[in-house]
Amino acid sequence: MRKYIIKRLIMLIPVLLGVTFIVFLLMYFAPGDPVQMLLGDSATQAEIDALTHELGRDKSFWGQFFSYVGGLLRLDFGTSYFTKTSVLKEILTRFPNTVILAVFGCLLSVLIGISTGVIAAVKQYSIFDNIATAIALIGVSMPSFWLGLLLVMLFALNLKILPASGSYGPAYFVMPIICLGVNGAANIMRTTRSTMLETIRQDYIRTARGKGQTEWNVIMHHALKNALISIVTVIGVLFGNLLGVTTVLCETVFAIPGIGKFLIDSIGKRDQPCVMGCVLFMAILFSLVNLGVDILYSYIDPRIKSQYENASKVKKAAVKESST
Amino acid sequence: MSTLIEVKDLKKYFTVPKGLLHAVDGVNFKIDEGKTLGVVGESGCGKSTMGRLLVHLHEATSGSIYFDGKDITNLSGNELKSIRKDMQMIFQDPYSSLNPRMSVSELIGEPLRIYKMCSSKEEYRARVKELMDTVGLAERVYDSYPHELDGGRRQRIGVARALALNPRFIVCDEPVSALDVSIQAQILNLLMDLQESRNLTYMFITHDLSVVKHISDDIVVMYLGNLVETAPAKRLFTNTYHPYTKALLSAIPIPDLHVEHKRVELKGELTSPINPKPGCRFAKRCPYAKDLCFSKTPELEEVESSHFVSCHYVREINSL
Repeated sequence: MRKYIIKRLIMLIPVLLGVTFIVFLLMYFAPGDPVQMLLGDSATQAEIDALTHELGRDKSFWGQFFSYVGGLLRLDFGTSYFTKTSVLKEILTRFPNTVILAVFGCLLSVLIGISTGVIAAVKQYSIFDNIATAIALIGVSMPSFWLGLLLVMLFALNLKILPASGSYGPAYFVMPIICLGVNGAANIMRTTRSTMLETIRQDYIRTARGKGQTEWNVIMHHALKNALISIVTVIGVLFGNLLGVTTVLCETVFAIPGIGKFLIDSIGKRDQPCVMGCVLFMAILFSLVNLGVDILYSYIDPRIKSQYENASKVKKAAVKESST
Repeated sequence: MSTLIEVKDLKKYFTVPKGLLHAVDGVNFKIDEGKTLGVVGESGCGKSTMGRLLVHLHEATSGSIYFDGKDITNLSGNELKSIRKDMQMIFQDPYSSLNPRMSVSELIGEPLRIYKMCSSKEEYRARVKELMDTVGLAERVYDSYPHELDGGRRQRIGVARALALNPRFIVCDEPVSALDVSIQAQILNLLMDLQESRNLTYMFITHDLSVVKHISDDIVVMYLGNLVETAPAKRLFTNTYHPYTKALLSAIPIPDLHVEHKRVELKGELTSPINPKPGCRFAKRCPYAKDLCFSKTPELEEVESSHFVSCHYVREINSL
């Protein structure tokens, strides 16, 4: 198991290199010059040249790329063109806000999604099932920023019970979390329902009933545990997205200073080191979440775990045999 | 010998979009303690449904089931739980009927945990190992998972599981049809040994006639939810009276080149079990069918002692 994790972590390196290259390429060819933006329209050509040289932007593409990668190897994500602070520091000060959104959004999705999914599957075609499936369909189809705007209209403008934007206390996080949770819950509910419907029809569920197991245990221990693999996959993708893509929109709508909003602002200002830093940071998080899900599989499904363990046992036995 | 299981006019209808599907339609039989009742019939004739009705995996639409003289048809809750202890089922497919997420010991031991049969962990382990030994599973597979074992061993898990609660009655729903022939014999012999040592009563559902001949004391032949012929096993194979049973038995291959094999071939389509019309269900395919067969449903009639046939013209056809 440990070997597997180390192998996966090493495999992260080429993935990150690829991501760095592609984003660097995109930023290099993106229109708009940060130097121009920094100095304003009244700057002279001499000033522009000086700053371009200072920021290292007069080097060739490969020159810039390799000096950036060289910095990365020393865990130096560069400094922001505008604030002149280290990108890593900028990211880490904003990271807690994103984490709060992602974790609670995910938690809300899981709670609502799995419970309604299980009930809908057990009571297939009931009124509950029909209503829940319909709502879930709306939930997955609705863009989260649009839902965010509707929530702002209802709770902030009409009812005036929640603040519309900013991050000055727990109340400010309620709407963003609901906004993220609805979409996730709908996704998880649909997956839970369909995989549960599949597992409930399995023969071993009938076996469990025949053993005299209570209906609750049959559903929770025999059916849900078997359905969990696909549900966890969806939750993993969802959580990875929440840490990156989804929160970008949500943070922008609710003006919460997280990584997502930072990324959008940095793109607007063509602040290349910040954009690079954010994207790389998100890529690392996403990969780690995926790795976490894969490790989780082995705990959920003993078959996967026994595969790892048997593989290492067989290898050891083979080594022993060849040495004797 | 006392009667352990008695079934009276048992019916199970399923609601399907086109109407009512008569899966089991008015079935009567008895099983004596320590005996095996073989149930044969083609796919979809209601054999499995009947087995599941007996152990309460389906609820009967009407009719009654008696276990040791007690009406168990409408039990629920704790009463049902306590009767389940005495009635277990071995399922057809050992590949899909075992939860892939549970190890061998968990699969066999789950009933023990549900019924709190063991007071300590040591007792539990000992009991599971004893059950594994009974069905011929090596101790080293104690922590294995079903996907690591072959079909025969998996079915042994199914048998051990069913035995865990010391039941008196076991429904075997085609327990060997998913296994290859050499393993079939092993499992059948295991079941017969267990019956002898524990005085078990079996209801043995199968479509394999040579298997049923090997293991049963009595046989009932089912056709579309009805019993068409019931008789002691030996007599059914020598004195076959119902046209359907005749066709069924003639389908058994005879491993002898010199014996001329007369095959009764059935023509026509299977009648739909959804909203069936009155009359003999077999009439459409029966070579002897007359007008009466299409209007009146035949009753089981004792032709010889303890040999029942449901056919209007049984005496004419067999010149009895």
